[in-house]
Amino acid sequence: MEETKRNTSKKKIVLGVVIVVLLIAVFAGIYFLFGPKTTAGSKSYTLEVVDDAGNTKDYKASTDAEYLRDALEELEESEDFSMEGDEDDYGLYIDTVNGVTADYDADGAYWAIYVNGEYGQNGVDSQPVHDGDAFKLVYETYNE
Amino acid sequence: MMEMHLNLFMKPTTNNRMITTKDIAVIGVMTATLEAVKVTLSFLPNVELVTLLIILYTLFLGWKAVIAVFAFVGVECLVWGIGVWTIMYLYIWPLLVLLTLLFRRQKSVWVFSILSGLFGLFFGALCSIPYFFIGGPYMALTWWISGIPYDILHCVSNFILCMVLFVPLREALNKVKNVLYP
Repeated sequence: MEETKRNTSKKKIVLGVVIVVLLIAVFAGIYFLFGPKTTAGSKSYTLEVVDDAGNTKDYKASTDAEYLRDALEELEESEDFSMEGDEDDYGLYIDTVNGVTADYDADGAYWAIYVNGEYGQNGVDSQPVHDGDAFKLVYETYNE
Repeated sequence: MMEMHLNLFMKPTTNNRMITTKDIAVIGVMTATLEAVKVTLSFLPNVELVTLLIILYTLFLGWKAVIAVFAFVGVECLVWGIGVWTIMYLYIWPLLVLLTLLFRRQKSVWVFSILSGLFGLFFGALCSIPYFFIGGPYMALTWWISGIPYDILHCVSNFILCMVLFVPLREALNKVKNVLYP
């Protein structure tokens, strides 16, 4: 009698745990079907990279990022694009783009940022991104 | 001895209808501990001990635990200010007291862990009710769905915490009960 009672309550507990697990699965299903979807960025922009040999590579992307650095970091994830640099007081100072390093100390080379055809006035950290912007990263050399 | 403790725990503390001075003191301590665990774990989203404590306090004090729950909501308002969540808390936690009272004769830690887990899983759905009146069914539904990952986390953490802590805390409360309500 006692044994039967214990078995019944054991069965109820197992049933309870199964219900919890099933409900978690149902909830997860609802989330994946109807949950918020990550949307493509609302601002589109273009980027042209001109390396030391004058070769160009064009990118077209969209982003929700406010500043160019975040947009370019997103681009690193999605496209065959890479940038590296040092952090200084003004943010990231880009010294390498797509594996091409500009060494200012050696030959005055640097990566210049152009925004809509104009020489950029900001670093990547503070350059805002607007819909339709055309950015350019150009390997340039400073000659006195 | 253990069995005696368990049985003692399920019985009402004193006169079930009257609130005694002892009850008031106990409710004060319950409120303080509820707020303390809430604040201590507030840096972890949806990992909390409030659910477990309210279940235990309801088993300890019966319906009177709801007074500690309302006092806890009052203290929360003093700490965080009043918001939509105040309305949510005013029916969510008393609902837990009610659900626990329905299962008060159960002894198995599994039963309360399942209750605790399900309560965590439905927490977001229960919280979305005010949004039904604020912005309509669509708003309530989207609000609930977007929080489902947190509800699942809430469910799992509630279940595990109850499995681990329910028995030792019940034992500790039984000891307190033996002294306070001999």
